[in-house]
Amino acid sequence: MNAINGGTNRKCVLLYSGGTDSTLAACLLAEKFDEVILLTFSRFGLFTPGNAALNAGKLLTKYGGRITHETLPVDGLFKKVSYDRYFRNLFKYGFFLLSTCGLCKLAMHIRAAVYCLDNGVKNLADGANKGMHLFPDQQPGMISMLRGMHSAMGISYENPVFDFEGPQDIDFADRFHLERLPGLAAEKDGKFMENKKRTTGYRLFELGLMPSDNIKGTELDRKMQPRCFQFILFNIWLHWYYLPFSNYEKYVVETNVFFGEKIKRFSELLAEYREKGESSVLTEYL
Amino acid sequence: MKFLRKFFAFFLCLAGVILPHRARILYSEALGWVIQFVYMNYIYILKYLLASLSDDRKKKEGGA
Repeated sequence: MNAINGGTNRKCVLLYSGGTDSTLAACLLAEKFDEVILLTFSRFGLFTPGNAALNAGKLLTKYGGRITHETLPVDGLFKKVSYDRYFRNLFKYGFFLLSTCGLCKLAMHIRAAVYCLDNGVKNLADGANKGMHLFPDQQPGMISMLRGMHSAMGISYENPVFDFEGPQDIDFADRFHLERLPGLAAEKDGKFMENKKRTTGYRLFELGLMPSDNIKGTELDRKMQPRCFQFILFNIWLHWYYLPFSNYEKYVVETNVFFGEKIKRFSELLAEYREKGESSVLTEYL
Repeated sequence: MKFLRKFFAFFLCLAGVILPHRARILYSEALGWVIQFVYMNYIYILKYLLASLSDDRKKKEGGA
């Protein structure tokens, strides 16, 4: 993706959850920038945001003072993003308003942009990954629109781990040791093992930051990032209501229209914040 | 089956979409716990069945 804005501004802000994707993103950014600021966000419904400190601590040990970690609240912004012009949007977009993960991520992006504007940081990144393509915030269309929003603020937005493979889900095959069954063993050794070496978890294991090459679904995985169950309602809508009677392509198009309008609206508010600062509308929600 | 799922999903989502901010978060959280409960039960029952099958096979092999 785009070249990062280096040279004159050697700082980069990273939206940091503490998971494998954002932790590897931090490692890759630490190789390019003098300082990487990890931003973790807290809000009502996002439990144990302090879990992000686990891997942030490992990064701090590995890269020293070049890494800093901060936690910022996004309660007001998340509420504003979710409920702005609500009834109009309810009639226009229906259950798309339940796209909680995308709306939450948009609130985090707006808060991160405000942080960059306040602190004169010109580079922003996150741990978006192509493997999570059902979540709006990890789809190329929305990423492109977010890039436009940040670009209008003079901020370069990057996704250093977007092209890494998604982790192999160990919930079923590994928990039940199904690989011992003859048919599945061949599949696991072939296709899965080939992709495994291209995951963020595997790279972190190579860098000595993870105890094994796939920690997805393990106790450690749960203890290193905030916990949130609000994706359940989104999943029910998507997998039970929407997708069985539609298709992925249509979902992506409609998601882009819905979030396109949201991003346009908040780009205007960000522009106003840059111009008016404390007296802007956005300040009320920070 | 998919019509039945859509029917249930409609009411679950309708309740979610009309709730105010914090109530929706609590509602989603409660739904999450219910689904986790069902999922964990499914996992533990399946684990138990697989372990029983494995033990049974070992016993048969040992006896043969």
